Amino acid sequence: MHTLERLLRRSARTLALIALGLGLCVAFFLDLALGSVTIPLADVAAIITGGEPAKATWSDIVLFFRLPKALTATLAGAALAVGGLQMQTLFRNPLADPFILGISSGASLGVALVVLSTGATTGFLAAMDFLKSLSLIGAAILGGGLVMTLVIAVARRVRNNMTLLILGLMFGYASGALVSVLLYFSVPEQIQAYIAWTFGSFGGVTWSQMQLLAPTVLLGLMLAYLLIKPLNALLLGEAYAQSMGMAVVQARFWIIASTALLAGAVTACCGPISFLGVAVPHLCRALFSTSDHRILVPATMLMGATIALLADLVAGLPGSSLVLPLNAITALIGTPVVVGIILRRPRFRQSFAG
Amino acid sequence: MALVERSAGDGNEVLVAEALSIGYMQPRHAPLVISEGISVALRKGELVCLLGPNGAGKSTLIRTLAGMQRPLAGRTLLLGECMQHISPRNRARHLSVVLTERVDVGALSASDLVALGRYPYTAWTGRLSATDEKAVRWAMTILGAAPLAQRRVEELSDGERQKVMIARALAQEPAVMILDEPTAFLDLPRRVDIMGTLRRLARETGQAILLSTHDLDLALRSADTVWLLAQGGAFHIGAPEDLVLNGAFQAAFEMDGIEFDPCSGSFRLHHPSAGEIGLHGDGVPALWTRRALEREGFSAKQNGEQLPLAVAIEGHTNQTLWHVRSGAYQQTCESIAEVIACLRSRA
Repeated sequence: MHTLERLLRRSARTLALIALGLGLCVAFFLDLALGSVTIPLADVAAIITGGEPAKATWSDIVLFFRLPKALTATLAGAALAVGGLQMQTLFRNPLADPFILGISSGASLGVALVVLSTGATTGFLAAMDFLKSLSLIGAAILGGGLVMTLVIAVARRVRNNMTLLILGLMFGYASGALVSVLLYFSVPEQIQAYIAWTFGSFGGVTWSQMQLLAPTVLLGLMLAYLLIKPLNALLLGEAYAQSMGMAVVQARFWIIASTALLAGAVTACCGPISFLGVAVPHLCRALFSTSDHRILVPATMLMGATIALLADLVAGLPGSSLVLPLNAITALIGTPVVVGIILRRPRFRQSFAG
Repeated sequence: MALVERSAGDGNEVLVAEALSIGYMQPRHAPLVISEGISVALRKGELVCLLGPNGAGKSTLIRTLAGMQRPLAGRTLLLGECMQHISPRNRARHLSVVLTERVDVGALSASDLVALGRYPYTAWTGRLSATDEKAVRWAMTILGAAPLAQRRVEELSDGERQKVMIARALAQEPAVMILDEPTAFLDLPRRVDIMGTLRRLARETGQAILLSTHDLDLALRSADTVWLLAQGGAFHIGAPEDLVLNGAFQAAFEMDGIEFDPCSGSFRLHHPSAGEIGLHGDGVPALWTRRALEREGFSAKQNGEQLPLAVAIEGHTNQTLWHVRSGAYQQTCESIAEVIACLRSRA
């Protein structure tokens, strides 16, 4: 009887995963079709398969603007959601996100240094152009990487996860403080350019940058797959995981490394995108009602990508030429999720005490 | 497994501590030594209870023996191999632990949780083989946790949860199981149940089980051997009864206002003496009357006819009566509460 029950539950989960996959495909095509110009789905399909659309300009819009943007959203959503899941499990903290160890604050510092130290004569538009240049990505990688290297170096020596978490937060505060000092001495145009970066966007990634983003994210996701077993063991906490034969320092290193790759690549290419990393793992736990990472890792991947695409779709305000800040949309999706979790689960509050 | 050899170095020793010194390294200070020179052995099929007052270092000793903390000196051998040199995976195949801390595992079924105990046996995917599935079922069945298999861990009561956690430790198929206060959060029937289960486990599966507990009475009744860690680091080993008889227990738990009663094997509060009282009667009512009188500070004397104060118990099939006599005054009571009220009013 139990076997039948388990079989049924297993197939229900498989079906839910397939449904999530289909949802992702739908969101992906909608993101290609909708925008300031609406392109019929048939033409989108034609363009992707190498055919001729009804209007020649549509081809350029899809291939050089919307396709890289949709791919970026897919990769970034999957990356942030899986990164968040790993951090929540590692630190046993439901509010942990992929940036908890200071990656985004390090990247912000790098970007702030570049944007705010360039000449004051460059206007806002020039700064926007500049934003898309590689040097900005370079700065973000450098800043985020530096903080990450520091944290990983410390992680190898520290025995306690809580110490590591607090160190990461402190690194974050320190770089935040440096950014505010830089902002204080900057002109409005520079500040605006910096703030535009912090809004986050999937649209700034060119095909050449994609060659960096895609392999890095795929590598990070692959690592996450290899880490499913230690992640499950960590559900019982580090002491138990160790007693069951997990090499704690090693597992922690690889979990942080995977998250660093995922969050670092996304932050460098899209800016610090908030809330996806916190909210998606909770949504998946609620949907599949399990903490088993064998299900959660693929589920967060699919759900993260889908929600990122939807957020991008909403931010683009289909039918208008306006674009809303991406972070505003992810926060609007994310906050009700987090609030709902806090209100629904009384245990949630207890888990802060322990 | 029914017969356990007790001679030293008989090959049944699964966990051996040699001149172990436990404590903590402190930066820029001399190490904090809690106890030193501990040499003990845990044998196959043996249930050992580690007792000691709060703060004596029971958890430190448990953690050191489980290899979760380095000893300051000496070494521990697991199946003849030095603990520090065994790979985490191999260690987990021979030794499993249940810790005091209550962990919030989130949404997992009980059988998923027990299956985590197969960690040292599964490949990198964590997929369970038929052997693993069998071990999980076996562990849950032996602990009587099989009906809980599909229940979610967060819905289980504390007692059920502890059973599942022990089943998880058992699923590691270890030679030694070490439990740090496994009965801490449970009520008395649940504690007796868990202790009984562990005792049966040691007998049936030949596992060596070491557990720390505050439950003196239960430990004295269930343990094959007691390890006693007193405040200040003194360490005693012996059959529970021997430790009671040679006074090691009294010494270890000595505290103002509390004394260990070797007759009952439990602690009792010192009361200011209210004098002697005669107690006439026998059987269960006499036993509980004596307890009530002792709580009131009297020392009850059987056959104390000449005493000015006395209680006589008159037992009938459906009712017990207590006759309280104080000098010339006489009163008949229908309950112990009345007896006490009467004694208080005469005082």
